[in-house]
Amino acid sequence: MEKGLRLCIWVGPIAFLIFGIGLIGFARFLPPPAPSMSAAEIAAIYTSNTLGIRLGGITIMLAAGLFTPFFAAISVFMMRMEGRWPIYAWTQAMTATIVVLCFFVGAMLFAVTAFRPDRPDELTRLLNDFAWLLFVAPAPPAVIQTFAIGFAILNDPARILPRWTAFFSFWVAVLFIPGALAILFKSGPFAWNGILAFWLPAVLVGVWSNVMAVQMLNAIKNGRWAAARQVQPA
Amino acid sequence: MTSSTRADVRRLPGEEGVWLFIFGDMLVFGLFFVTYVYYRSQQVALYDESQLRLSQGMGLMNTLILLTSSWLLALSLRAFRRSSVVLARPLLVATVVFGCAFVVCKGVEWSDKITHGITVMSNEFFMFYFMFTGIHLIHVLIGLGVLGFVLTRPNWLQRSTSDQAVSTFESGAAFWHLVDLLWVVLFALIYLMR
Repeated sequence: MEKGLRLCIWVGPIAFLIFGIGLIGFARFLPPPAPSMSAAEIAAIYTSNTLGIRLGGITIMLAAGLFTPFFAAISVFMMRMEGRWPIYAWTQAMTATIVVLCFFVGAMLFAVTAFRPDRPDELTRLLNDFAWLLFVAPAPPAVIQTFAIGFAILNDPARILPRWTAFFSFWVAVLFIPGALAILFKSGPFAWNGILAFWLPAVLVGVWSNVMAVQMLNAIKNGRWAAARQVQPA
Repeated sequence: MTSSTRADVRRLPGEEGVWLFIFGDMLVFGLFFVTYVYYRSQQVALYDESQLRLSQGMGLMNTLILLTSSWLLALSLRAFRRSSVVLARPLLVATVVFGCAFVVCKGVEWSDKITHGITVMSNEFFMFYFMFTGIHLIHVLIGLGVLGFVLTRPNWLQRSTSDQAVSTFESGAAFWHLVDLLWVVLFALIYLMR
């Protein structure tokens, strides 16, 4: 009965693994190319690792696609928490779509940039800017998404997921905020390669998703998911 | 706290999850502060010179406003624990008023900076100044939302204080005190540290 749900939850951590392989393994984008680099320096990155960045783009697009079933699983959980009017579940599903789309298009832009690295350096840097800002700057939908998840968990009378996961989500949501301002800076902690705009949210997204996956699988295992059907609010 | 109130029982005020958030947030602000001190150490002269353009008076006023609000909140919570809703309510309203005053004060301070041509782009010091006080301001706004939520719980009308209501109040209060604490450290670091 819950096989499909379990599958979709498992896809989340796997998508992260694939994402990491694409970003780090193929594209070698860890650490990210600095926004302060000259056009020639950026272009050199794309000419020296053309195939790697193309494959990285494809791999990250695959990962972005795989995130959707995971977020669908979260929304299905939230629908059971909320009962008849699953407004947070819808909010989560829609904001998740925006977030996934930004990652998808960002990865597509990596691939596009590496498609013709022999173009003028300035143009390569333009595309690279766009790609990285798509990765880091779409914080607002991500903040709303994580807040929605937290609200659904707190308002769940059946307590399908432990309540601390709600506060954990709020915490992660607050930490996404600096990313939204990456557009203002070309160096320092708030730039797209900075500790507060990139490293902190990047690590936390990974930790948060895995924690949520484990907690959802636990809820199925220990029967709270099944039991919640009877205690739905009117 | 010698009288036999509910507060005498030794336990964590509010619910555990809130404390997870609070310690997590303190951890992150700790990271903010370490980042600031590190970057400052790279060009102390620039930071010291820029700091002179901040209004320490405004910073101090912000600090006093938040400390007062925290004090009012503590009084309100104590009254609430003793089921004295009639006393707790105006105190909580006053807390919210002081919280709003902080937001206004910050707005005045920021617009003063901006009219003098100082923005988040001016230099590294002002980047930290605007970003950290901005992220803190978001915390204040969330805190006001939380206190507003506590204030609109139905138990205020029923004039009764269940254990659940006390716990909700404590959770909100703990968050507000965190907001206060973070500001005090922020004030010391950005406005005062030479």
